[in-house]
Amino acid sequence: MTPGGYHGRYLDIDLTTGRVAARRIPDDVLRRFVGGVGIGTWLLAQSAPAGLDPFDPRAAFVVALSPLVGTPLTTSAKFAVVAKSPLTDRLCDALASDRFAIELKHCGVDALVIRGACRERSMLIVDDRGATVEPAADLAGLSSADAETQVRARLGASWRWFGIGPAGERLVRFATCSGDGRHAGRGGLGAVLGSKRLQGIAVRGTGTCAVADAARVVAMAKDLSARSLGPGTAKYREVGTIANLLVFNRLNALPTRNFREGTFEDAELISAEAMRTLPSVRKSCAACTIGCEHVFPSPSGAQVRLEYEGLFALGPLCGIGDRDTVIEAAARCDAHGLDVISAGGTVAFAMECRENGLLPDAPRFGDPAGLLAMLDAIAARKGVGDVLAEGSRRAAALIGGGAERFAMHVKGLELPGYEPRALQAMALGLAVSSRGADHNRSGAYEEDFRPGADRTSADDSKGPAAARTEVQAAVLDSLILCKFLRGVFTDVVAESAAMLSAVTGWDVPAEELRLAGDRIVAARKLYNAREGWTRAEDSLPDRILTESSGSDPRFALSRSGLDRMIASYYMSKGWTPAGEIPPEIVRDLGLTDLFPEILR
Amino acid sequence: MGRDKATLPFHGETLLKRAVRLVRRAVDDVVVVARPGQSLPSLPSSARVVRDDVEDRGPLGGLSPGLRASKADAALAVACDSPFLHEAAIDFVFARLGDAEVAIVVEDGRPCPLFAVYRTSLAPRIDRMLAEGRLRPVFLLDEVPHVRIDAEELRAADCDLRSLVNCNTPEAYESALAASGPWVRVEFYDVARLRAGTAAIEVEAATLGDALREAAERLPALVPDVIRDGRLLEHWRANIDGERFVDDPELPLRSGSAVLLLSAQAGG
Repeated sequence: MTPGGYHGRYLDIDLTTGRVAARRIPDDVLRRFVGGVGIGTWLLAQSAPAGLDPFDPRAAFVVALSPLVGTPLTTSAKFAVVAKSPLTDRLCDALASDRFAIELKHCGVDALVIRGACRERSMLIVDDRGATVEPAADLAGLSSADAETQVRARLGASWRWFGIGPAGERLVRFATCSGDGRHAGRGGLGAVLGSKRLQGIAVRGTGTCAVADAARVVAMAKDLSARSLGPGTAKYREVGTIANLLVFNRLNALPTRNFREGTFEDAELISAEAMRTLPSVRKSCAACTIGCEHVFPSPSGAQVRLEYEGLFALGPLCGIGDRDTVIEAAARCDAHGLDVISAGGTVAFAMECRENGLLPDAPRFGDPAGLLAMLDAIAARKGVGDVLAEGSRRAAALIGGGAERFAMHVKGLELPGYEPRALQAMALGLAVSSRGADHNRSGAYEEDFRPGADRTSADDSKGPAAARTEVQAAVLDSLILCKFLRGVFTDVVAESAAMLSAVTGWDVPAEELRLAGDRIVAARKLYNAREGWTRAEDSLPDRILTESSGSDPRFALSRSGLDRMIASYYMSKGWTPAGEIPPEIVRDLGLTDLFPEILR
Repeated sequence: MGRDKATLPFHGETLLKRAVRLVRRAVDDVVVVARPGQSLPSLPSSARVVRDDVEDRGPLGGLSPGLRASKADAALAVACDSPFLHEAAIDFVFARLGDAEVAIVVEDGRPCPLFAVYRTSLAPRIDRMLAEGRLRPVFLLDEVPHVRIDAEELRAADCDLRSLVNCNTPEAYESALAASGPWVRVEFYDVARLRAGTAAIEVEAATLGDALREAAERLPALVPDVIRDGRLLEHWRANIDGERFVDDPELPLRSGSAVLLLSAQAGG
């Protein structure tokens, strides 16, 4: 019997032929990979051969649900999309929250694997009966939000949509996929859908998915909801993540003007406090009690869910201290379907290239109109925007002349808003993450904020700390629960294991779930190794390792310091000094069948 | 002084508000006795205000309504211009009262009627004395059993006798302003700023615990969500000077330091 919370099957969809097959996911796979990014990684690894270009029609795009979707557990209406990133050429998983997850669960599947490519602009329609592909030329050029409105007008209001905008259609390598205004943002997975000429996925399900112990799940849900309204989430509820801006600025951890400095002189002007004078509204994802979204009006009339990452990337990183410009820039990223971090990071890169005479058509730091125009040009792939649409790493190679030294990325993914030289546990987390420079797959900043820790020391304690937060993130991203809940848990993994047990009927000890997290981290790493990862990729941009932030010697990180932390991370995981996973660990984690080539 | 001492500013608060806050560290119930028609600065909600119905009768004139309003058996009388009241010194005087009616500190041979503890039952006797025009506090001491505490004894609780400092002249006030400290800036971020209602305050604190306690006293909205019993709750972090995150309440602070209070939830 299939465990509670799962259907034990996925739809294997070939867009080229239109064939759809329902395939089984074995129970032991469900238990070992849980769901979300875990199941998504398992499906991706076996669904496409090694070495494919992310835009190759044979490349797979996976949508993976989790066992908690559809339960009353708060924040559980989430899903993962997993594919090989066109920005990094490595594995990318991204999460989104929406009722889309619940509708897809009610279609009787745990995942979709989408391969092939449509001959014309199309949409995928998934319901209880399976999946079909329909023409969707009318959606071309629309924002994801407008496409969603059009699809629901056509199919009915009960349908949910997850799709791309103009940037995805034009294969901008940091294009997002979106639904209900929420984005699977990082890594350019919207461009993967665009390469398949798939505008998006419409779903509606009418089925159910039983849980093993409904009464226990309801009791846990009530308890978790109550705790989610307590002090552990107060920051997210009352201010939102934009509260980070002034904090990070004070800690010299606010990346400014393409990571040249760690503080921004106009931070107050674009702070949460400055935003509070605007008529904002607070919203929440489906099935979420926290309500972290703080929505602000843009000058063009859009309603923008403003988060710290967009604020930092489109503000200080580009030297922009004008509140309205930052909000408008975030609105344009939403409308075009651009990842705000990579968009801001790539424009900041272009601004520094301009300063150094390498890209005369790029705007200068602090040029509001130039920023907005450049975002439009990237989405349209017009002029210099066509170069920047490739992301900072590829753009630097195209521009030449030493532009590489201004491209602030890890594995091709632009850095998020955590200054690595001021947060050195996070520096390690960014360097070793399989997704590239990423603040959601590593929560190592928690170590930097721990009383007694030295956040400017590249010491051996950072390795185990980064490894622990990475496993914790893998557990939460597989269940899937919102990371903003972590402050309400005494032990994230132990409480997650109890929830998983109640939903599935398994008896899952905390250690088993921790091991599953470790397995998922290893599986992503093995996927990357299969696709060509080398030890040199686990690093940080030269600027971080050769210049101090803002010329302040307190905030400096040497290459040898980073290497020391990386060595402590590898050692804590039992990996080799070269960062490879020894065969016995691959076997112990049960990953041999998934990555047989690694053992050859 | 030439102006109302109660309203004189003292590092971000008024002298009166500061005196109330410092006394509140040692006692549960604080009564402020004001002159008829005297305009008072804002005070903590825990302080009760009563009025002396006749002006210019000296310390005994204010003592009578204060003792009547008190809910305790004995009450400390202090001047509003006492910027360095120390709870240990207050405790010391209360502890010396014993069975007496008054415990009074004597400095350089002179009793200090506004650093003394009085039985509240003395109010009718004081009223009688006021009606008879016997306004000097020493007349009360002549009539009732009392304990005289030499200021040198008080050093056991307040080694510099800063509790006895008053701001009777502009020079004394300026001197007190300069002599206070170490001063530490407490900066509030994210939800802590919402609770505090301000971005930062200056506090007089030698340790992290002192800074948290004074911040809680000055900004009661921080209690109990952010600060409780001189400690940050688990969902908050303290950082010194934008550098180290700390949690030891005994951590010494240098004058001029900044204590940042922010949410422990760093991500987003």
